Amino acid sequence: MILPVLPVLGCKPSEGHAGTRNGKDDPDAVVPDNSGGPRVALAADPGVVDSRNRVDGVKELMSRALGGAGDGEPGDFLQKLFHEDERIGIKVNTLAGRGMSTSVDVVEALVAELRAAGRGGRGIIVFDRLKQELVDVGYPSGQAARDRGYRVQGTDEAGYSRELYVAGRVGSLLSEVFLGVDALITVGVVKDHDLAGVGGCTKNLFGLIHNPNRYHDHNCDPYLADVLGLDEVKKRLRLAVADGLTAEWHGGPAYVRANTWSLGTIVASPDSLALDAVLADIIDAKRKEQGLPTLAEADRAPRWLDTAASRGLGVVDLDAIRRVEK
Amino acid sequence: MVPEPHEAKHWEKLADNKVRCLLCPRRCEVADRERGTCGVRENRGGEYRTLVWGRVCSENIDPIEKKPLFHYRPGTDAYSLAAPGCNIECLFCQNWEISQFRPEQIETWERSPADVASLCAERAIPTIALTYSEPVVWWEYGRDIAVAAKERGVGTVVVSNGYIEEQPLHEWCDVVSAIKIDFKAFTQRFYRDTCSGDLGPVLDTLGRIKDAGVWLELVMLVVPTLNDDEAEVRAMAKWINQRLGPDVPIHFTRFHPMYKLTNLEPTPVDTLEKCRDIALAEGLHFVYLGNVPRHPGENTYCPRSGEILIERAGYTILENRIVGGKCPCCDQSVPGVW
Repeated sequence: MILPVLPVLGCKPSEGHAGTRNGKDDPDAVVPDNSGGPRVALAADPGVVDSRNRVDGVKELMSRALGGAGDGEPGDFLQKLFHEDERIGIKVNTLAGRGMSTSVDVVEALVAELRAAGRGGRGIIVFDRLKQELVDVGYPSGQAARDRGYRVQGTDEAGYSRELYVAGRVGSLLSEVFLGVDALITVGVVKDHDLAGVGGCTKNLFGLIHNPNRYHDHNCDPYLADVLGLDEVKKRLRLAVADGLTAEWHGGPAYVRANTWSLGTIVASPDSLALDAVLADIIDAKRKEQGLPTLAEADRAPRWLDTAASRGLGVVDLDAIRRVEK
Repeated sequence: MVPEPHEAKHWEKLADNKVRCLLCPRRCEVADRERGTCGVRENRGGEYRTLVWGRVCSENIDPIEKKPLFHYRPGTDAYSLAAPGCNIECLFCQNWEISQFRPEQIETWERSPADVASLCAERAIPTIALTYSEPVVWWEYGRDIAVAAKERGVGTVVVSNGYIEEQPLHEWCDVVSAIKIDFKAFTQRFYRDTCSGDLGPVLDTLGRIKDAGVWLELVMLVVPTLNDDEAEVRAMAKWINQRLGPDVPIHFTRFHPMYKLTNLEPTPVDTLEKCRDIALAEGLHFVYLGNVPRHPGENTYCPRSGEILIERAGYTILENRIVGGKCPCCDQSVPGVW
């Protein structure tokens, strides 16, 4: 496809890459050890989902997942990824209501780990496109949220940038909430997606731009790779976490209760693409078990994963990913 | 806040609570909780809904020449309004701040079709223009406005990209008085790469409007290096003459850098003049220049006598010499709605 030469509006030079901190010139910069491939840690306990001690169980899973992703203590891992004086944004996914959105328990377990590691000194903001959707899923507002160590904000409250940000075929305004944070954690949901193939953590980033509906053609390829390649995203995105307590094998992004199962898993990785490649594998396995065609057979293979990987934005070869079961 | 949804027309149910939109050639298959490419129609539990019915994001009283419609009630006003959204994305869009946004992302206010019709009837504004963004994606609202307006003796004109399916187009043609189509180019490449659309459906639309007998005018925004090839313009003019006839006006308008296409200079006036010369040479009778105020190409000339029939300066009519729809010099009929 031939495109006219587009001006680059509002884009600033890249200042880093996913998984790095403040670029090569920063003497404190830490690049996760990806020799041997990025780590994708899965912490599982299916009993947690309906447990009376769900909150504690989720905290335990989060701790194991972060520890596995960093190959050590979760606090050490988070301290390597984030400076203490950064404002951290947690982009959740609340499109599908209570049934199939990033759960409050998972986010609060993550916030607790960040606080315990002394990170988020300039604040932790949990955000999505619409405040109402956050409230509908159960996120607290105002003082109730601050009492729990974070703020909750919808982009509809803060608005979008006046500048267009361009990468590849994507040209979009960006969430002002997102632009106001120093570092980003994408916390998606383990679910099938009607167009992208897999919901998860990278598709969750469509919630940063004002016009995601423009970029659903061709199973979101190359658009998801383009969004991941936006300089503003690259320099902020440090960590991906997937809420797989309840997962969905078919019918996403909406919540179809009959298509869900208690996976009881939290997945974490500094590489959003590697994490999503693992999620696609999990969803495909479940689809086969259910007698459904694979994502590729259903004509929605997440080709954008390969496109993004070919641009050096992450690793999607399952043989090259260190899948750590915790 | 996401506006209150309103029943959408022209869609069908699919398996797994999905729907297929039948409004435009994209025919989006939309899963539950998702929206079509336009961003203003949403699947709510297997039912398709429009989020922009009765929601206005821009309204003005404009001269009809601004649409531009030069052969439709010249010198009169049109109450012009838009709801958010568009089904294509032109990289040079002049109104991207309303066309490329979701309704909850920009300011909108309520204006019912009855209110719109009453406002025009009471102020003796003869025409309502559905314009600025893309009326195809707020089809239900626009059609309801046109129906209410017709009952009050007010005409409705549509300013569109023509990217619409046959049935909703026919239902438009039943209630509107004139349509202006942005004929972006005569190559699929331009439509695909610069507008994320397709040429074929637009050609179908033009033919259908002509066949329906609704007054039609065309605009081609001439973008340097992208759609200004002389052979392309000639082929386009030839097609217009053969399929639509020589009396359909075409306006070649000047591009200015905008939205995502800011690396090109404004269209040179001589390029527009060349386009006009080509179209006239191909036998088209009414060929205009746009966005070049006070250029002689803004005037309407009698195709037989060559006399100036309507003299314009920008959107202002300096003199209208048409009498009873005819040239005062040679009695030649001048097509249009006078």
